Amino acid sequence: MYTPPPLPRRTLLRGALGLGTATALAACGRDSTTARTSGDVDLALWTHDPGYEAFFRKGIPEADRLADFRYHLTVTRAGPADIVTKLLAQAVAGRGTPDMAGFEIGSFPRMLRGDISERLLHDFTPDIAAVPGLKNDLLPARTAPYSKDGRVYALDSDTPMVVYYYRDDLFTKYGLAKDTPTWEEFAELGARVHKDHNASLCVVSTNGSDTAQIVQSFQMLLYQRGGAFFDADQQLVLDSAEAEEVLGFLCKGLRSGFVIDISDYYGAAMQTALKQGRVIGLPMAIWYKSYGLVPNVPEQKGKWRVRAMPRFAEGGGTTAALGGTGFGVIKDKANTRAATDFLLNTWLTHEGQVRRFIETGYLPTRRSVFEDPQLRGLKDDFCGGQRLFGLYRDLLPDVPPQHTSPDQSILFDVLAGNLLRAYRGDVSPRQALRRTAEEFRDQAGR
Amino acid sequence: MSATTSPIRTSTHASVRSSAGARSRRGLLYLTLVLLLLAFLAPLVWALSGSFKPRGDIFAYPPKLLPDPFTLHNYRALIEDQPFAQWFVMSTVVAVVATVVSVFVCALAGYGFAKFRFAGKRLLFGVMFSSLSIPFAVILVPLFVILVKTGLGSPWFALIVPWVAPAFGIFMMQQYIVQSVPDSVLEAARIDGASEFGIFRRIVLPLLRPSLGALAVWTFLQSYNSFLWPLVLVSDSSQYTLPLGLQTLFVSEQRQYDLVMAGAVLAVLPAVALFVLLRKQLLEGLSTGAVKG
Repeated sequence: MYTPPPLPRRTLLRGALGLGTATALAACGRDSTTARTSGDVDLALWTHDPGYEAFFRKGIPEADRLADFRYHLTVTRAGPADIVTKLLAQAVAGRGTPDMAGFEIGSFPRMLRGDISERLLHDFTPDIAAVPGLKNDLLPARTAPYSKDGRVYALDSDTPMVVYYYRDDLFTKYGLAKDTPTWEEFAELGARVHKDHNASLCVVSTNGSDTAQIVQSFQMLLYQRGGAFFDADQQLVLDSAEAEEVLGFLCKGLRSGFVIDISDYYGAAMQTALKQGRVIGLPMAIWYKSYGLVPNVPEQKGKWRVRAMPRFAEGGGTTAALGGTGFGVIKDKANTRAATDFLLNTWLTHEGQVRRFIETGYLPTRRSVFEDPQLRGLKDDFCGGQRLFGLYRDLLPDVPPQHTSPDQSILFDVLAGNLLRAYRGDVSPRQALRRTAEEFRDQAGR
Repeated sequence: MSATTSPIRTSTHASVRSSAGARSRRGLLYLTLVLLLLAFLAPLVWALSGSFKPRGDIFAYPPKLLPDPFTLHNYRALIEDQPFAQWFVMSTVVAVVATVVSVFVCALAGYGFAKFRFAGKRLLFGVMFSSLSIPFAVILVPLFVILVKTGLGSPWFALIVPWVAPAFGIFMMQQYIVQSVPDSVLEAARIDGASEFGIFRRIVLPLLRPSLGALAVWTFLQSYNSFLWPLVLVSDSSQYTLPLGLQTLFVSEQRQYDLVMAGAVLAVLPAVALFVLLRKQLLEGLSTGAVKG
């Protein structure tokens, strides 16, 4: 073992000088926060979906016309959950936050923890109030997921109603009524179809690596039935009679074959089931046509149709909502005003919402836009030329609000496990829900 | 007669039985190995096959191993419509630089810990060693904040920083040097007038080649596959690394499996090339200490 001689004084001095230079450099290069009020603005946008990027890029000329800015857009793409992780890290470091970010509804609840949203996001409430009639025109059901303490922190991309998709050709071939009014009657029909044709009319996801997907299957019918996960005060209200009824309905459907379990709504398992005609109908959000059916079974174009979901005999509405992405603006930045104007002038105008539906398939979030004659006249080729907008307008009053909680991810984790146990028959629906509520309260401490 | 032949016969039978048993055990072993090989290769083969199929055929039922029709569209779309080349260059350059720097720094630090006596050595080594148990996610934000506050947050620099002096690499080098570099050789070099750095460069480094190869492969793969750190650090899509870039093709509801598979096939090439280049050193490095000397 060798003992080195001590370092010379000159070497130590050089080291100290280097450290001092690094510290001096650290003081430089901070972003300016002086608010821009007009002129050229380069907005940084973070989103997970190229469809939104295309929409906003096309909206630049209109935004330029309506505001005092000339916009340029720099887009960064990342996963929905990654956007929140990245944003929080950048905010802590005090550098690199974007001007606008798209928060997928499943990831946004992290922003509701503590005072994060209040400290980081621009409150749109005064902007909405400043436009005559806008507050009443915006659907409360779609501002609820992005609101806290009466403040709106993001503007939704969609009114993602849940509808029933079905194979029109196979329904005709198997002699199935296309307007069965209740789920209970539909389930009886489904059991018969499964027995006679090995086909199912409803799907639950059992994708173990994606708890949100497992929960979605149950969530759609729960909200339709009138149940919910959380109330407006972010308190858990899952353990209800409605939830037990819906879970019992799905479990019974799995035993009869009316419901089929699929490992992934969007991937190989579903594609195979659709191609083989083992799934000939399912309740899903309106965006599923573009992101589930069209990419997976393009050859079935023209064979699918959309209708309202059957009702539950005991009550509830005709639709639910699933998904959505709220766009927020980061506060206290030089571009905060410019980004807010940009969002209001692209996302929230009547023309912007019409264009949004035509280009992305996302329904308006303003009530009045549902009356637009251009939208009502649109035909859907994938659905055999159906004019779907009339159906959507009729369903609008039944869209339930979706309140979230910062602890939603905990709920999804425990609920997914208990749903799978209930589907397998290891526990009763009652036990599954009670366990979920207990485990959630235990882990979330509320 | 029978008393003399019987044991011979029995012994022959036993030998035949024993050799048959050994053959069947070997056969079983080979069968298991082949099955394991297939299990490990299956995802790669599927990705390779899928990368040449149209999107609608990737999950076709019944599954087709050979693409029919065979198409290069996925590769073209990946290279022409996405900044794949930039992601590839970024990942490869960062991983190569990180590997070169890391291998040098770890060897130097490992040499210091193995062969030098200095104040606080045990404490320093203990701190370094205990840092092995800290998950990267825990130091992610503090590291990012430090780099930003010191003005060193530029992606080219910051992407390399976490891999410059990994505790695992320093520990590995220290262990290897303790076992494989005799003090007498170093003493002889000092008596001959070699400088300390000269000893490290001319004597220690050449002796470390096998373990340097293993460390190089490990560092390269760690840096090349890193996701969380580039995610937090990089906001300009053109500066994304491959894992980040490929994920953007998958995270939207559109799930572009065709492009992801083509990207995965291309992304694996540098890692395979490095493994082929350093295979000998890697195997030697990994077996060090496994055989009692």
